[in-house]
Amino acid sequence: MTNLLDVSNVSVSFRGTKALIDVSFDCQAGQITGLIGPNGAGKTTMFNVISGLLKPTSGKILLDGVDLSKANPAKRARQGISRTFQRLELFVSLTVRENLVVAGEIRNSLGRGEKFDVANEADRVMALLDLTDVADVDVAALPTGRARVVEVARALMTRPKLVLLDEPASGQSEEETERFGELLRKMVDDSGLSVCLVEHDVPLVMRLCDRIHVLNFGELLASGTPDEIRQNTAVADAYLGAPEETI
Amino acid sequence: MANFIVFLIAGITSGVLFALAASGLVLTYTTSGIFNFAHGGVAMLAAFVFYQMTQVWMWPTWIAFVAVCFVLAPLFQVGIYRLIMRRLSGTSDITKIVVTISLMLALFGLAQWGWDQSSLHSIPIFWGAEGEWTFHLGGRDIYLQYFQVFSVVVALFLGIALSVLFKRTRVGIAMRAVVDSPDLLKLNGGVPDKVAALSWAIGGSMAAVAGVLIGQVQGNVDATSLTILLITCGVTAAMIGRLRSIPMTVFGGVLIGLEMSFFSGYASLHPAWTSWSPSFGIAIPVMSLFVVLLVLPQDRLRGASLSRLRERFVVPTMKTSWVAAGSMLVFVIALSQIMGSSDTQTLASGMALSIIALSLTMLTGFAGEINLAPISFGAIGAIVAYHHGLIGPGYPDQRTSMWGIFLGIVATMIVGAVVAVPALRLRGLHLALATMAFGIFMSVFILSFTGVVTVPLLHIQLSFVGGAMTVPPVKFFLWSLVSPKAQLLSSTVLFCLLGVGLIALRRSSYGRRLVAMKDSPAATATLGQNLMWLKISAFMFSSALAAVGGVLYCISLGSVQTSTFDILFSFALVMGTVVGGIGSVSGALLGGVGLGVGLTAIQHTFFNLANAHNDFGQLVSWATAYHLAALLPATIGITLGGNPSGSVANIVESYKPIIKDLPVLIGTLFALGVAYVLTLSHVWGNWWFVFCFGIIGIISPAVAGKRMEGGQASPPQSNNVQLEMAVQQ
Repeated sequence: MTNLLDVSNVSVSFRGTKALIDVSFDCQAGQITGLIGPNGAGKTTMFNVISGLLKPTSGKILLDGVDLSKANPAKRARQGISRTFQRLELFVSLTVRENLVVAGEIRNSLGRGEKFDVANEADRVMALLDLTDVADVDVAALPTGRARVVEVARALMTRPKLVLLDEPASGQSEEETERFGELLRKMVDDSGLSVCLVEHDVPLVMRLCDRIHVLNFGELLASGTPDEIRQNTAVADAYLGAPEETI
Repeated sequence: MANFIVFLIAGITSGVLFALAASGLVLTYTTSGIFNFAHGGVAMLAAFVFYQMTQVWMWPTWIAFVAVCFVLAPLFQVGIYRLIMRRLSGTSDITKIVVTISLMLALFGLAQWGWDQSSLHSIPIFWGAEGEWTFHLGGRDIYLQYFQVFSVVVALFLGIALSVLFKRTRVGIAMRAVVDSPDLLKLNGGVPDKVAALSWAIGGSMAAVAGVLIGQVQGNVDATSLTILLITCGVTAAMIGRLRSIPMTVFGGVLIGLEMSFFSGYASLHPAWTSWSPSFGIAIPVMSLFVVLLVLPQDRLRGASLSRLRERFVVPTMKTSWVAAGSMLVFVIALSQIMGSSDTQTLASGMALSIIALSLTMLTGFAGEINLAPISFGAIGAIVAYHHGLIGPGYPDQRTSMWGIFLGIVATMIVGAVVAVPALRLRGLHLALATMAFGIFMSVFILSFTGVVTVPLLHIQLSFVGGAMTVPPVKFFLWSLVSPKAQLLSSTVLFCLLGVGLIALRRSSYGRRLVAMKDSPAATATLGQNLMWLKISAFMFSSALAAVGGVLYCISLGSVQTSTFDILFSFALVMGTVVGGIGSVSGALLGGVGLGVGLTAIQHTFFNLANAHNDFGQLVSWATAYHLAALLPATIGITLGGNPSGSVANIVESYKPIIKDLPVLIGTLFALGVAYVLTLSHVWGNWWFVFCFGIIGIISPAVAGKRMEGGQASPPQSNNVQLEMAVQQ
C-alpha cells in the first residue's frame, strides 16, 4: 500500500518552546489514521503544519509523493487536503447550506477533478451527515456538537483525498459519537476517503482507526495498530494514571 | 553641529511626550482589548481645559496642571470605561473601532463648541521662555529650557512608575491578567472590572500630561492639528511597542520625535525643501506607521476570535432589493418636486456620499477588511477626473466627461490594489491603522501640496493646483447633468443600481467567498481559496465605488478644498455607515445621507436660526443647538455597543408590522399623500412636510405594533423564532 501522506522530520518551535520535535509518520490511502496524545502533545500543531497554516522550523510534507512543504494552504487544498478545526472555524454569517455551498464553489473553481453540481452535492452531504433539518439555519445558532458535523460536511465538499479531523466528536453525545463513528467508517470503506483523526475519545479512536500514532510532548512516542498501541507501556505511562482498558 | 544639538533637544522633548501618550494607549489596550482612538482626543481636550483654567480663569499653573491631569482626566476616563467601553465585549473589530472614533469626534466637537477654533489659544510653557540654561557651541548659543528638562523627567518618571507597577505590584500583575483571562482572574479573587477601570484612569492621566505639555510645545492649542498629531505619533509609537511593550513604546515615541525634528528642521534650512517642510512634520510619523505595520511579524491566519459575534445582517432577496430600489427612486423623485434648489443640492451630495459608503459595505461589511479612509479614495477619483477628463471651452460651460470618470475609477482601483498589499498581511485593527495612515498621508501630504505633482510613468496629475478645484457637472452622452435636480436623480439612480448590484454580488459565489474570508480566513484558505486575489479584487471593486462617489460628491459641492477630504470626515462617514449597518446597502444610504444631509441641514438650520435670533441668544442659544446637532451623530456612534448591527435592522424590524397590516398601510400612504399634495400645491411649506413625515413615521409603526399585540393582524414571525424551531426539530 502506498503512503498517501508522508510527514518527515517535522519540528516546530515557538520562541524556544519546542512544540514538535523531529516527528515522522504517514497516513495510508483508504484508511483512518489516528493521531493521539495528551493535551499539549502537539496534535493540532501537526494539523496546522500539514494544512499549511503553520510553517515548520524544519521537515517535509508529501502528499502522494508531491512535496508540499513550501505550498500555502490554498495550494495544499488544491492537492486534496481538507480539514476541520478544534476551535470551530465556521462561516458564522452563513447558513449551514451556504457553508457547504461556498466550499463546493471554491473546490469547483480550482480545476482539480471533475466539476459537480454544488447544490446537489450539498444536499447529498447534508443528508449523509443528518444535517438536512438545519440546512437553512445560521450556523451560529447551532449547538457545538452539530456545528462540528457541519465542519466535517464542509471539509467533505471539496472531495479531498485526505481529510484531517480535529476532535470531531467533542461536544457530541455518546449516541451521536457512535453514529458519527459508523458513518466515518462507512465513508472510508465505500468511497476510498482517507482520514487523519485527532480525538480525545480514546475508545472511539481504538474502534475506528486502522493505525495510530501517539504524540507526547512534541515527540512521536509510538506507532502501530490499535492492539499494538493498547499494549504499549510507554503509551500507558504517557496517559498518566489511566488504567489500561481506557486506552 | 549646533543645529544638530538644537534639533536633538527639540526631538527628544516632543519624543518623550509622544511616548507618554502612546504608553497610556498601550496600557488601556492591554487591559481592555480596546484600541482607543479617542485617546488623542482626551489629550487634546485636556490641553483646552488647561488653557481655560490658566488663561481664562487665571488659576495658578500648578493647580490647574494637577487638576486637569490627575483629577479630571482620570475621572473622565473611568466614566468612558464604565459607560461605553465595558459594553463592547463580543463585538467585532469594526464596531470597537467606530465607537472609539465616535468618541473622538465627540471630543473634537466639544472642543469646537467650547473654544472658537478660529482664534488662538496659546498656553505659555512652564517657567516661561526665560526659564532656560544657555550653552555655547561652535560660536552659537544653544538654549535648554527648564520646560524641556521637566518634560523628559516627568515622562521618565511616569514610564518607570508604569513599568514597576506592571512588574512588581499585585494590581499591575492583575492588569496584565485581565486581558489574558478575566474569568480566571475573577476565580482567583481579582476584580477585572476595577482593574480595567484603574488602567483607564492611569491612561487618562498620561494622555492629559502629554496633551498639556505638547500644547505648550506647540504654543497654540488647535483641535484639529493637535488631535491628528497625537493620534498619528501616539499610534505609531504604540505600534512600535506592538501594543505590548512599554519600553519599546517609549523608544518608538522618542524615535518619532527625533525623526520629525530632524527632517523638518533640516528641510527648513534647505531652500528647495522649504515648501515641503511643514508637511514633513506629520508625514514622517504617518509613513513610519505604514512601515511599522508592514514589518510587524505577521499574524497567523485566524478566524473570528469569537464563534458568535453579536452583529447579524440579513441579506435581502433580489425581489425585495428591486422593490426597495424602485420605492426609493419614486420617493426621491417625489421629494425633488417640492425641494428648493439648495436642499436638492445637499441631498445630491448626501447621495454621492452614500455611494462612497457603498464601498465600505462591500469592503468592510462583506469582506471584513476595514478601511478608515473611504473619502481619500473618493478624492483620487475626483482629482484624476478633474485633471484629465474635462471637456468644453471653460467655466461655466466645462463638463466632466465619462472618459474622465472612467480614468478616475481606473486610477483609484490601482491605488486600491496598492493599498491592498499591506492588507494581505494585516487584519482588523492593524489594517484600520494602515488605511488611516494612508488617509492622513493623502490629506496632509499629497493634497496639501499646491504645486503640480505627477505620478511617474502614468503621467497622472495628483494635486490641488492653487489649493482648490471646481469639478464641473457630468456630461452623460448628449445630456449635461447641470441642474441640482438632474444631479440628484442621476446619483439616486446610480445608487439604486449599484446597491442592487452589491446585493446580487453578495448573493453570488464571489460574495459568499468574501463573507467566508471575513468569518474565517483560515478555513477559507484550507478549502483552497487564494486569499490574495480575493482581497485585492475586493479592494479594487470598493475603490471603484469610492471613485464614482467621490466624483459625484465633488460635483455636487461645486468647489472643493483639501479640507473636503480630511481624515476626520472619512471617520465620520465610516461611523455613519456602521451606525446605519455596515453589512447592508441601506446602512450605506443612512450613513451617507445622514452625514451629507442630516448634519448639513440641521447645522445650517440652527446656524441660520442662531444668526437670525441673535437677540435672545442669551436665553435659548440656537448656537448651542447647532453644536449639539454636530455632536449628535458622534453620540449615536458611541452607543453602538448596545446595538452593534446598526440601526437599519431595528428600523426595518419596527416597520414590519405596517406591511402586514393593510388598514394601517393604506392609512399611512394616504396621510403621506395628503401631506405631499399640500406641499406640492404650496398650501404649506416644506418644513410642514418634514414635520408630518416625521410624525407619520413615528405613529404608524406604533399603531401597527399595538394592533398586532391586540391580535388584529397576523404577527410576523421573527427570524429567531423560526431558527429556534428549526434547531429544536
